[in-house]
This record gives sequence, C-alpha cells and structure tokens, in this order.
Amino acid sequence: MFPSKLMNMRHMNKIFSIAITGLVFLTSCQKLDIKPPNVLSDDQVFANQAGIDAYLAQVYRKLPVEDFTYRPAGRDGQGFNIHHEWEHFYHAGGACGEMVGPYGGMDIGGGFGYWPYADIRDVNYFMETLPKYAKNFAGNAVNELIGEAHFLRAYYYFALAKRYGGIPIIKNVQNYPQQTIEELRVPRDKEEDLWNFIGEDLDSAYNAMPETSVSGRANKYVAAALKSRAMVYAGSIAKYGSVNFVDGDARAQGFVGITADKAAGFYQKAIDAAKLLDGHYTLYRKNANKLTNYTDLFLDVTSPENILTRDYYAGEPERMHSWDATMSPNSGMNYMTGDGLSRCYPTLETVERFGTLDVTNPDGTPRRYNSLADLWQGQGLEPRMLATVYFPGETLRGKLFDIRRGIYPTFSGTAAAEVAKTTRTFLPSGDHSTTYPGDASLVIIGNAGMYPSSGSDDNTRTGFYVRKYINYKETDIKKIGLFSSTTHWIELRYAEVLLNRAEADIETNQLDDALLCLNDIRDRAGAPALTLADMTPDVVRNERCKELAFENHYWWDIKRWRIADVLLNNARFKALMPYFIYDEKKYIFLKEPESFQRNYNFDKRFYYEPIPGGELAKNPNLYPNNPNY
Amino acid sequence: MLLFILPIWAAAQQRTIRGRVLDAKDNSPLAGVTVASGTGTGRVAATTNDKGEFTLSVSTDVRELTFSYVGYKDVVEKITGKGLVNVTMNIGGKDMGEVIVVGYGTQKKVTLTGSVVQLKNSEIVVTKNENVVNMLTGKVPGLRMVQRTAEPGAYENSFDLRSFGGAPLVVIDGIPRGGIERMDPNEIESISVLKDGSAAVYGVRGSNGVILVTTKKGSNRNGKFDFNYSVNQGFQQFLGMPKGVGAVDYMMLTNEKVKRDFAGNFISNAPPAYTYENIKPWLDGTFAGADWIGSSFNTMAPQVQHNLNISGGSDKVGLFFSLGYMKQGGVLKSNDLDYDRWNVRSNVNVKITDRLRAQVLVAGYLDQKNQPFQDLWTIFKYAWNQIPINQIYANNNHDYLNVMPDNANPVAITDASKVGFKKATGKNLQSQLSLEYDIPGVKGLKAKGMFNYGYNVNDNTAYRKLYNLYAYDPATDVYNPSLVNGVNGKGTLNRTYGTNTSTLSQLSLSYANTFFKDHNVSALVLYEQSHSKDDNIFAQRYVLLPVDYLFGGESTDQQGGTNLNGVNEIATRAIIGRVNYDYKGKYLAEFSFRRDGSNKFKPGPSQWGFFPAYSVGWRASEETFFKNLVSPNLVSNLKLRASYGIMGDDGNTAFQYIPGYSYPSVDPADNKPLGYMFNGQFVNGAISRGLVNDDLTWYTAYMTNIGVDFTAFKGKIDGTIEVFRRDRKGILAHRLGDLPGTAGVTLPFENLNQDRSEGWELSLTHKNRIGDLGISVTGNLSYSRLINRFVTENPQGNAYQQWRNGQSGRYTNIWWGVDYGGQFTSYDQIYNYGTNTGGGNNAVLPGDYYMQDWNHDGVINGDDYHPIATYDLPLMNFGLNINLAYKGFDLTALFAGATGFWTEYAEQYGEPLMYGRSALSKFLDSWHTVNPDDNVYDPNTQWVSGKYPSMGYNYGQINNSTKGVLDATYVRLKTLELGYSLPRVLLSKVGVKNCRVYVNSYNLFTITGLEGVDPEHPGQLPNGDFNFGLGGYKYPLNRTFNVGANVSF
Repeated sequence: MFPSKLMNMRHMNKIFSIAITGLVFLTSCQKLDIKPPNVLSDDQVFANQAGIDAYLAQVYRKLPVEDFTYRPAGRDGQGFNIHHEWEHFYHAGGACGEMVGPYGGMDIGGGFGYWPYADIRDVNYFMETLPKYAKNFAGNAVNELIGEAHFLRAYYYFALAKRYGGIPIIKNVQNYPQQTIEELRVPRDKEEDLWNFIGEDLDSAYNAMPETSVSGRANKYVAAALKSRAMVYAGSIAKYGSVNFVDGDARAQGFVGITADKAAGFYQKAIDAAKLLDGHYTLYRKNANKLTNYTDLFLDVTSPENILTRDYYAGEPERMHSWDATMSPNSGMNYMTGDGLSRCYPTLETVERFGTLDVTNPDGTPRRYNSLADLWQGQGLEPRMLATVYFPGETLRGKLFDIRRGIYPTFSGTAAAEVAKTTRTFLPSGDHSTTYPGDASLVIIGNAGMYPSSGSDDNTRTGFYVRKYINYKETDIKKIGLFSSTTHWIELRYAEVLLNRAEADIETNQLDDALLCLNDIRDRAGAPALTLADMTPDVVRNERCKELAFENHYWWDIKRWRIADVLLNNARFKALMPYFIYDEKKYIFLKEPESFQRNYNFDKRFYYEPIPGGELAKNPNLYPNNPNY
Repeated sequence: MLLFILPIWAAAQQRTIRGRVLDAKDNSPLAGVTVASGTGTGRVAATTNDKGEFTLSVSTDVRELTFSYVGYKDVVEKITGKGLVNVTMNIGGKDMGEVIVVGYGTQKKVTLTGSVVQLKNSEIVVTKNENVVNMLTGKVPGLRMVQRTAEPGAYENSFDLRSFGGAPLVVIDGIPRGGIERMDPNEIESISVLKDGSAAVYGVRGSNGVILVTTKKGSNRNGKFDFNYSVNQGFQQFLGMPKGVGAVDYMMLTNEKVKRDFAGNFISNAPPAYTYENIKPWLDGTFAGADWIGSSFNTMAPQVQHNLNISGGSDKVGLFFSLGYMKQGGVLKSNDLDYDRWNVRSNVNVKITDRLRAQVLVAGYLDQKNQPFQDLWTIFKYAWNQIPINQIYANNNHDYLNVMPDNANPVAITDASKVGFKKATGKNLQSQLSLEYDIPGVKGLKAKGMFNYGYNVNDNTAYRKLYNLYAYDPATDVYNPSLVNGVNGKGTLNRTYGTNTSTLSQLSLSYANTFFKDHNVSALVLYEQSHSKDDNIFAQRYVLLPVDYLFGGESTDQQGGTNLNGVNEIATRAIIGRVNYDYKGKYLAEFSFRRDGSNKFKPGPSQWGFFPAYSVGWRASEETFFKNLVSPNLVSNLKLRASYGIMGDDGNTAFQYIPGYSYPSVDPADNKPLGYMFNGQFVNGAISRGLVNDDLTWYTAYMTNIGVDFTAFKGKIDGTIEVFRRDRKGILAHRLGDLPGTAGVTLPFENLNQDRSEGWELSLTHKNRIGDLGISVTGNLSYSRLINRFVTENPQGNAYQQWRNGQSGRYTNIWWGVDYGGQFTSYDQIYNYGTNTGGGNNAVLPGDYYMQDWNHDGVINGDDYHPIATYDLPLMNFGLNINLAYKGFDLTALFAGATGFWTEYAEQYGEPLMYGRSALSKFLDSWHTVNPDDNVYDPNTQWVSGKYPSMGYNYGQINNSTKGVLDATYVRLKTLELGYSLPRVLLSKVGVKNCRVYVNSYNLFTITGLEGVDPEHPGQLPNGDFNFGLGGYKYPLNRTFNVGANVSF
C-alpha cells in the first residue's frame, strides 16, 4: 500500500471520527426522566398562602351557590357554575309561578342529579393534608383554614340535604384501591342526622374562623348565617313534611323526613344562629329614597347587609354573567341591551303580593290611562315593589318600557268579557318594525313589547320585567351584552337572616321577635309597620317571598313549606297586558293569562329529588330511593 | 413564416437512426417496442414494426436511445457512428428495479415483504390542491379520506388508514414531525405509505400506519442544472352553497308555521304573523327583500401556485433548491378571508471523499391566514338564516348598516374593517446534516450519523373591533347608532405566540452483502433520540384607538399568560434494528425491532417498549416449476407475502401516571382559567388530577397482513390483493364496578379495552401502448371496519338495551335510528293511522313524515331504534386513475369515491325557519293549504302537495331516521388534467428544454344522491358533537378550474 493512500485513509477516518464525535456531543444521551411542566404537586400547593388560595379558589368556584348562572334543571348534568351559561332566564322562579319563562310545566322537579362528592373529597383532602404542612403557616392560620373547610363542606351538604334528604355523610378522604369497592359502597344516612351534621360543621366553622374576611370568602358570621338558613329548612321539613308527604321505604327508614317533634329544636337553632349576627350586619339604608335605596342594595359592593357575595371577574367575558342582557328587552335592535335576549318575566301573582293593582272601573270596564306610567306613578305603590319589577312605562338607560300587547282600533265592553272572547279585535304584530296602519310613528307592540304567542319570545309575556340586580347605573347600552355583567351575587344577606329568624320565631310562637325582624325589613322597604296582631305564618312567608323575590329562594320555600303541590295544581299564571286604544288614544290594562300559556303542576314526590340513577347502579346500598321514584 | 423556416432548420440538425430489436431469449423480433431519445417533453419516439425494425430521426446531439417495451426491462443503447442500433431485450417488468422508501431505509419493490404503497411525484402533483393530503385521495388503497372543508389555511381532513381510527404518523426525510399538508408538492420525490408491520420500526407511534415523505435531491448531471418553473392559476367555485327564500316567501312560510302552532289553540288557527297589509308592499315592489347570501359570498375566488426549482449536480455535489408560493382566496365577498404560503427547500449532497458523503437538508415555510374576527361558521349561519325582510342597511341608506338580531349583520361580520380580524401566521424551519461513511475493510458496511434541528413559530393576532350598527327611527328620522362587538364596550387585541424547538439525532451502522452468489443479506442497527419542547405566551389588551397592535391598547385590565396545554416537553430514545435476507430473490425474510422509550410514561423500565416485526415472502414466479407450469408471458411475477408486527399508540396515554394538580386549571371548552374572586381579585384555581394509575402504558397493536402481488400478460396487468387485521389491546378505560360517586373520585384509567380493525384491499393496474397511445389504468378498492372486541361496561337493564348500548364484540360508529315510513297524504290516513307518532297524532297534518313502528308497540320512540347506518369515515373507498398519453398530449382522470357513508343535514340545511329565522329556498317545495288562510286542522282543507312537510313540522322527528340519515355514497372526478408538451424543436430556439401546458379541474363533478350539499362536507352526528360539522355551517368544499404550465430551462 502506498504511503499516500494510507495517509488518505487515515485522513478520512479522522474526518469521520471528528464528525461522529461532534454529532454525539451535540446530542449527548437524552434523559427520559422529565416530568410534564404543567402539573403541580402537594409540596407546591400547600407551600404558602398563594397555594392555599389556588386550592380554595377551586372549592369556592364549585360551591353550590344558586347565582345568576345557576340552572335548576341542569345542563349536560350540571346545574351550578355552568360553563358559558348566559341563559339566566332558566331561573328556578320561572318554573314555579314566581315568574314564567322557558320552562314548560315542572321541568326542574327531578333536579339534575347533583352529587358533588368529588368537591367534598377536595375539602376532606384539604382538612387532612393541610396539617402535614402546618410549618408553612404562621399563627392560627391552619386552624382558621380548617374552620373554613368545615363551612365549605357544610355548604355542599346543605345543597344535598335540601334535594335528597338523607344521603351518605363522608367525613374522610376515601381511597381506592386502599379501600375495596365493597367498603366504599356506603349506605344513606338519616335526613335528621344530615341536618345535624350540617349544624355541627357550621358550629366548628363558627368557632374556628375569624370575624372578618375578604369579599367572596367566608368568616364565622357567614357560617352562622348559613346555619340560620339550614336550620329553618330542617325545622320546616320536620314540621310540614310530617303532615304532607309521600310514603315509602325511604321515609319509613328515616332517610327522608324528620319527626315533627324535632321541629322546635331546629327552629331554635336557626334563631340562635341568626342572633349571632346582631350588631355585625345591618340592613342597607344608605339612601333616604326608599326606592333608590332598595334598588342600590343589590348593586353596592360596600353594603353592610352583604354577608357572602360571589363576585364576577371583569377581565374575561367567559367569567362574567349576562343578567342584564337576559332580563331586559333587546328587542332584536339593541333596545335596552347591546345583545342578548330575555325570556323570563314576573307574573302578576308575584307583583300583586305587594298589593292588588286596580285597573278596572267599578262597572267592569277597563280603566283608561293617558300613559303607561299612570299605572304606577303617584299610585302609592310600595317602593320595594317598584324596585323589584319594571312596570310598563318606566325607563331604563333612557329607553321606555314601551309595552303593548297590541292596539285596539276601538274598544268597548268590560275587561272580563274581552278576555273571555275567543276572537279578539286588537292588532298584534310579529316584530318591532311593524307600525300601526297609517301611523308610522306608532310601533304596534312597542319597542319592549310582546310578540304573538308563536313568534320569538324575547320580550315580556306578562307585562313586567325583572328589576332586581339590573345595573341601571350602566347607561351605555353598548356595554350591556352577553357576558358583560359583573354585578356581584349576594348569596347571604342580612335581610334573609332576619327572615329566617322571623320564620323560626313565628313557628315557635316568639311573636315579639318576629315582629321586630319584619318591621325592620318593612321599614327599609317603605311598607307600613305591622303589629303583633298581624303576626301569622302566612304574613311572615309573604314578606319573605316579596323581600327575596327572584333570588332563587321561592322554589325551595314552597317545597319546604310543602305547599308546592297545592300552589301548582294545574296552575296558570297571569299577566297584566297593556293595550292602546287607537281611537281614544288611551291605554287599558287587562289581567289575562300570560302568553306562554304554561300549565304548572307539581308532583308530590318532587319534595325530594331522586337519588341519581347511575349512583344507585354503582352503589346498591343507596337504596331505598326516595318515595315514588 | 415560421412554417417555412422550421423544416429547414430541423433538417439541418437531424439525422436518421435505424435498427432492429430482438428478444434476448429466442432472438424473435419484438414488435411495438418504443424507441425514444431524450426524456420529458423533448422526447422523440418511434415504435418497431412486425420485424422489430424502426427508423427514428433525431437531432445530431443525441447520444443514446432508450428502448422500452411492456413486460421487458428497459435498454439504453449508445448511438454508433453509423446510425445503426440493434438491441436485444430481456423479460422483466420495468418496476422490477423500482426502489421503495421504507422506514429507515429503502428496499427493492421486488423483494419487499411489507404492505407499502409508494406514489411518485408525478402521481401526486397531477391533483391540484393547496393541501398535499388531498392529493393522496383515491390513490392509496386503504386510505380513508374525507376533506371536510376547503377553508383557506384550515388544512382540515378526516383520514386514517384501514380503520385504524387515528391519523398515521407522518415522517418527512426521516423526521417524524408531520407537516405534510403545508409542503409544496413540487419538492416531493415520493410518498410511501406503510400500512402493516413494516411500520413497527416506528414503535410506539406506528400503530396507525406511517406516511413517509421523501423530498427531491440533486443528482449527478455532469455539472448541469435544470431550472424548472411551474405555475398553476386556479379558480374556485363553492360546493353546496344554498339559496335563501325571498321576503314574500319568508312571510308566507312564517304564516304557515304560525297557523300550525299547536301550543296556542288548534281548533282555530293562530292569527297570521304577517297580514296581507304587511306583505303587500313587498309583493308590489314598494319594499325589496335583502339578498343576504348574495351580499355576503362570492361565487368564484382565485387560487394560484408558483414553484421555481433548480436540480442537478456533478459527481461531487448534487443540489436541489425549490421556492414555492401559494395563495388561496376565500368565499367572502369582502375578500377578507385568504391564505398564503411560501415554501423553501435546499437539499445539498456532497461527496467529500470516495468514502465519505454529507447531506444538508434545509426546509422551511412561512404562512399566513387572514379572516374576519367573526367565527366563519357563524357567518354562514347568519347569512343563511337572516330574515329577508330585514334590511342590510337601515332605511336602505348605504351609510348605515342595520342592526340585526345578535348584532350579526352578515355584511358587517364578513368585513374585517368592521369586526376586526384574526391573523394566524406560522414559520417553520427544519434543518439536518448527515454524514455517511463506507467503513474500509468490510465490504458493504456503512456508518451514518444525522442531526436534525427544527423550529416552529405560531404567531396569531385576534383583533376584536368595535363598530356601529344603526337602527332607523322613522318617527324622528334619526339613525340611532349602537356600538357593537365589544367586551365591556371595548375592543380587544389578543396576541398569542407559541414556539416549538426540537432536535433529533441518529447514529447507524448498515451492512449489505451477497454471500455465495445467492444469499443476499442486509442489516441495520440505528440509535435515535429526540427532544421537543413547546412553549407559548399570550397577551391581551382592551383597545379604544383603532390600532391593531398591543401598544395601542390600554394598560389597565391587560392580560397575559400561557396556555397550559401548549407547554410540553417530550423526549425519546430508541434502538432500531433490521435484518433482511433473501435467497436468489426468491425466498424473502425480514426481522425488525424497535426498543422505544419516552418520558410520557413512568420513569424506569416501564417507559420502554419492545416492538418487533417479522415478515416473509415467496416469489413463486422465480421457481423453475412455476415457470414450467405458467409461461412468464402470462404471469411474470407472483409473490406471496405475510407480515406480523407489534406497535404502540401513545396518543391518549401520555403523562397519565402523574398525580398532582393542574394549575391554573383551565376550562377545556375555552382554555380560559377557572378560579374565583377573592377580595375583588381573580385567583386561579388548582384542580386535582384525581387518582392515577402508575402502570398506565400505551395501547399495543398487533398487526397481521397477507398479500399477493402479481404481474401478468407481459406486464400489462399488475395487481395486489391484501387482507389485514390489527388487534389493539390495552385501550384506556375505567374498570368496571365503578367506584360509588361518594368516593369523590373516578377510577383511574387502565389499559383494559380491546378492538380490532380488519379488511381487504385490491389494486389493479393495466398498462398498454397502442401505437402512440400510452394507456395506464389503475383501480383500487378497499374495505375496513373497526370492531370493539372488548369494552369494560355494565350490563344493561334489558335485552334490547343490551343490544342497543352494549359495545363489546360490536362494530364501532353504528348509527342507530328508525325507519322512515312515508308522507301522510290525507286527513283520513292520519285518523286511521294506528301508530302514535307522538302527542296522539293531534298535531299531525297531511304532508308530514311518519316513521315505521319497528317493534310494533304502537308508538314511535327510542325503542324503535336499530342500526340504520354508520357515521364518520366511509367503510369503503375506491379510486380509478386513468392516464392516457398520445404524442405530446397527456390526459389524467382520477375518480375517487366512497360508499358505506352516511350524513345527516343540520340546522338550515335540515329545517326551514329554524329559531324563527329564514329558510332555504328548497323548502318552498312543501305542503301548504290551497288558500293561505285555510285552517290546517279542518279536515275539509285542501292541500297542495310538496316534497317537504308543511311549515311547523317538527324536523326533530327525522333525526336519526332513514329519512334524515342519508346515504352519502359518491363518486367524483377528483382530478381531470389535460396536458400538452410543446415540441422540443420549437422550444430549444428560445432556450427552453421542456414546456408543458395543461388545464385541470379539481372536483369537476360529483355523482351522489345528496341534494344541495357536498358528501364530504360534514353534517351532524348522532352523538351530537357540534364541532364535527358546526351545524352544517362549516366552510364549504370547492371545485377548482386550473390552467398552468411547467417549464424547464
């Protein structure tokens, strides 16, 4: 072999060796022990307050607060905190005659299978894990946080108890496969035991938690307020559920129902818990004008009446709500809102809880009004009534609640006779662009008015719109749209605590205390004071229905009072329909069936929801199911 | 003038070659042999006569002739000085020497034992489309393909191989990073599809098959370079674009619907929504209805592609350089929807020494998609359902766009200058260096090293702009503006920026040698490792000024962050080995394996898997006894082959073993953080991942394939038949006996379920030459289905429910529904109809559809459901590719189709006046009363019949019925191309080597039973996944007409 060739060979080997070494160097052996960068561990989460906040943010988010986004019949198996829910007209009040809306009959009676044990597990896990990291926290923080966890757990169980009665009480983290499936198939607890457990958890919370908290988060008085609510529920279930019930195995074994003799004890706990708030919270009275004051009560974040609020995040459209856009008329033309549409309206029955609206002359003919506003202006109506619903002829964002069912070219006869007719002579319209023949300035149904029964239903069907929680201070229509509202939801307010207390008082014959509470509320409402002689359960209940209207209490109240099956027995609800009489240039108002023509019934078994079917299949020990399911 | 000069010029340059062609075996003359000089469009050719003789006139600079004959090996012969060329030819198909790209190497087609299909560049580019994936349709047996949309820049296809259920792994020049859809087709040399155990060398990612793309490389052309330029100008039409009804029709239809409203009072009809006074001004022309569709959409949009490439080289250096540009316009009249893309590729081969070779491959693309801010599907929705009595402009004054329900005025929402825009840009760079070295001392031993670096950037901007819509108040003659589209009355500008950086390196030793003349052995051992990292960042500001950059936004309430799902780190290591053996090319055997590890599974031994594959082949046609039995003139090639391979699928299993928390927890629906407001501040939540399974691993696939390849009639017929089965085990599921809900956790995923895909494929090619006419026809047909062999499930309550809902041992994607009965034609028929169609038939009218009572229980309900169809990809796909060449002309027609394929119309396609909005004009052919004010519930009412039921019929009833679920079987002319290569004599004067011009069409026509929609355009699915078809509002498919040219210098 020639030397030069040898050289060349060596030279080549060298080049290749250098190149290969270079490649290997570039790519030195790849490690495979790489965790995904987007998963945190307990060490990181329980390291400091920020981690705790992140943990609890998830628990609070899932809390069964029946706020604007709550949908009582559920949607895709969820009822709380539904992703991107804007259709707030799926309101519990719209299914039971407080309002009428998209629900046909009693769609919500069976619930949506709420079963939040994953969230309860998160709370239990928090209670068990936090002490392991106690060294990361100063002072009494761990104890206070455990107290907060008790409150949160009670909240979940309260939402379960009012739906199902007795369900399994899980106080510790369950694990699989450390525990067998057989072990994990726990039986139901008795309803009475569950309510007592809720009371005890709230007592633990009250004892451990601090006096104050930041907005959105619980303190000891929040726990007490919830206790007053829960215990008055338990008391009424014991008292009225012993009278009006559906019998069955679950009842015989105590899984639903509480014996009547326990009622007084629960009521007293409600009173005791409510009184704990004395001196710490007061009714909102910032404005001397009773109407404005009552309206602002729901908008003012600094209200001393707010006990627990759920706040909304202004940064992300997906995290805001749409109450303003779905409770006021858009009319397809950005009338009072920039977009959205309404579909749930207060019934005449709800409005007349505050007092009868007299729209008929003694001879039975409809009273003539020069304008829509004459219906309510200067009529001495209760300020709280006007602050709760929008009447025809009021204004919002510079726009008139311009509502007509239609226009009569001419009108004669009595209101009753007119309503009874099968063929009526008024002109309806299918849209907001059709004007009265020969009068281009007169839209037949008004800009906030009613479509015929078959058209789109995004305008009132009762003559009224909801006013509570409507942010009238935002006057810019373009800023009112879907997912643009950040008005906080007041989950617990002092007025409710007073009403819980008054109800427990009246049921335990403590009339003085009941009167005290009611008159405090009525004074703020602008209603005349009551006397001891007025103090009956019905009066207290009616006050509650008025004060807490549209706040998702009515449905639960008529259930726990066991009157839903009586109130909703082929019930149809009424509207107050405004009409314009063209030849007289006057308005009349007719009380007639609301134009959804919905028929409401309540099956008595709905006093309890059925245990979710899938859970019964996975855990036969949950039988017996609630009666008649 | 030209006519005179050309012959003189030609004569001066030409000379005549004569000769004779004989069969090498028996010296018999061969008739019909093609004798040609040059390649491509410069080709001059003649055929031999019965005596095997030919005469050919060629230019004086031609040095050699090529002889080709079907069934014989090509011969290239130098031209001798005398101009006499005699040759002999041997039997043996032209394809016999064809080399097929397989995983980590190449193999001769003749000795291939796996199921691999390879397409050449020319077969790919004949289909003119923006997306290379659509160029595969109909060409690969076993490839199930649905295009879904022609939206510019969307690249959205549903496809898989052999019912495997997931997209195959795409490997470009050895790098498994996908991206085939954004390639310029002109830079592709070939595409190989691995459908069986041959994909097992891709281990845990191979179970859905593999698509290998090889790009063009420069070759030795004695230092010469070809400059190739091609241009394609296309015009798109849009398929399945419906028409809407006019104003009067809308009002009449609405009145018909109102009349029928049962909720009111069915004894007397509800009053009409539009009285005659309402309708009259539209009828007499006082008012004119709005043409929402016509004012929103184009009927034609342009599309253009250019490519310039340089190819060539010397014995030291080879170069391929390609630069491509593509631009596609959209359907929007505003022209605010479009897409463009630049592709560049530079492939250089260098021979450093006799033993050492280097290769540098660099490729990249830049692309950009522009669209209005509004989601495209909602644009179709609002344009199709907008009520024609609403006006585009308030009071018809063109300065004022009218307010519409949902603020969705189609003329506004298609206009980026109103609603703002979304802009998506991508930048991608792939680069790799490899060195190959022939190791001295051992013949056939080579070492190779490769390093690849890839970088990808996605940079997107979404500008939500405020604009005014106006409501005209006739009373005051004022146009009331309302500012819409804002969040809190403000516009937003959102910018997202995501990057991927990845490396991949390989070291390998390969060996190939022949022992004792007949024993051919080749072997490969290769080490590969890769690392890939994704990261992203976004920022958003409210914008008040009309500035579409972040700096123009407000600093208050600004947001920024990272999308959790876009943060990833993946690392892999693998050892790959393969041994091939054949004896005389007759008995073939292959063994391969991959030991594959990744960080997607629990660190330690369980993150490693071993994936072997075995295959054998027997070329019966090489056996003497076979040759004695069957003449090689009849069957020249017969190969039987079988393969078995084990593969994995790590798609849904990655990182499922890790407990802990996702933080920030994000809503899967919108990727926005979930959390809570504490003290007026939003706090991100940490969400627990629940119980995990440490032992979770990939799905394992066991793939078996048996195939027969044959060549008959001297190569005139080529065929392949294959049957296959893939069994998958360890598909994720939650174990039966679910934990009670009170435990608060669900069982973690375990590798429990099993499924099986099986089917067959058939492919036949006929090639022939009749005089100057070259013919090639290839047909393929394939069928496959996926079966759930075992699914962890609870027993059902009764036998019917078990049959209906049980999944074990059942085909997937069964569409359950009821059988359509017919249309009621009279009141009597309704009254005497024994079956309750729902609501006691009180609301049923003549013209309504009725369903069959399948279980004869007197009522139509869910218990009547039985299998009526299947959904998702077709069960059977076919393709027919016809190529004709005559002198300078060539014609290609590619038919593609599918059967075992069903669809269901959604929303506007399926129902008139939905949501109280407008209707498509097809619904005018519906039942209606003779007089518009007739009572529909009066049995004396006379009707005019039509195709559709009267307005107000509940179309929900035909969902999941054989009326609603329609057979979408189709055959379409996917590609038609007619080309003409200009005579070389003409071209060389202007310095052009080759020039071919063509006209082409994509989706020229479709034969299908569907009306008004394209069969590939998705409708709705029985399980209600809205995103599948977006309510039928997905951007349409297109038909394109193209003219173009390819020029070489």
